[in-house]
Amino acid sequence: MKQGRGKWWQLFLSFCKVSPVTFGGGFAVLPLIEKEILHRRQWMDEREFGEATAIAQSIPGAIAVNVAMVIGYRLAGMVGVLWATVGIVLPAFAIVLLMCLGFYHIHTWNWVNGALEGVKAAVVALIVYAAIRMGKSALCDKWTWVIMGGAVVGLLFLHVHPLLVMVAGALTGMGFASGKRVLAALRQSESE
Amino acid sequence: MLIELFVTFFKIGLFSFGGGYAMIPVIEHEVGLHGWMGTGDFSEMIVLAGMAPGSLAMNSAVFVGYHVGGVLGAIVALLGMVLPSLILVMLVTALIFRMHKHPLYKSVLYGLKPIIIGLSVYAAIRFAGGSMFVGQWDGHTISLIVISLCALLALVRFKLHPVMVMALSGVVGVFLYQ
Repeated sequence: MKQGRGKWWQLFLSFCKVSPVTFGGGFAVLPLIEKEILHRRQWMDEREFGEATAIAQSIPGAIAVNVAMVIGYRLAGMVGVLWATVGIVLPAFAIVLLMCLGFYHIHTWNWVNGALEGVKAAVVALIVYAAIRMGKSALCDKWTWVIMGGAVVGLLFLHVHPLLVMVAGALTGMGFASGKRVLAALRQSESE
Repeated sequence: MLIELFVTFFKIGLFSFGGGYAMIPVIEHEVGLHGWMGTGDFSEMIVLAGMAPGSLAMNSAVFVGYHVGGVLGAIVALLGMVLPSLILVMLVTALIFRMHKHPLYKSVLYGLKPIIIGLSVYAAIRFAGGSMFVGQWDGHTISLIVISLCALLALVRFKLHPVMVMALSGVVGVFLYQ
């Protein structure tokens, strides 16, 4: 751990710089953060950064913000977490807020609505693309496919609350793991 | 109302595994439940949130918050989204550093990740069905499907940057639909 190498205001500035260009969400942002933290500031090495992203992915929240938090913690403790978070969130928030303010004015322009119609079609593709990318690691066997299919059916036809579906998925995962353990134990006792 | 906003997005923030798109159905559900936005407004909002820098879920929270309670509403919604992971990182970091490799936690993620994909697929279906292809199979609908397929091809096959894909589709939209 390379504690104390980054001052909190340097952390703040670094993530402030990354924040406004974090277009395309999640994984598009990681290379930008990597460039700033690893190559420019040289606060971390590849291994530490890899661990930080792994942790960031296993807690709830936006991956870019989580990575900033974990890096902030690693470099400057609690103060680092706070300033890294403010740094990564604030500029993007300001831009979105300006968009909110502006949108109600330009909403009546014809070409804006035309453009939005086109982008809507692109967003569908973006969502599908995100699902494909995540699927490469998450859909690792037939059971994960079954869980995924079950989720879609539950949401689409049974109108189950999305959060309930997530809880059910987590429980299923735990059930599977303990089921596998029981099976393995049974097999072992049979062979003995 | 501000408290309601905060509690709602805190809840969503607590569950927002796997980032942006999987959270669309969750946010949509909650927004509908509270009667904060119509379906048309909502899909428009998702498009804008996707074009802005930052995470889609967080931007959506800001948009909804602003729609409901102005600038203060936007701030409150954002805080609600950020706080769960902030609290997790700050209070239980030491635990997380060990926990993310724990078998139990791994088994939870094993079950949760396919759900995230299921939610994304559902979001895509809802988004396509609710905002694009409402009408009949006319030229308008078909042209939207063509744009979607071209965009997907550009992303998967040619690794075009998402912002580039959105910008190009926007330009096509200006020519086709204005």
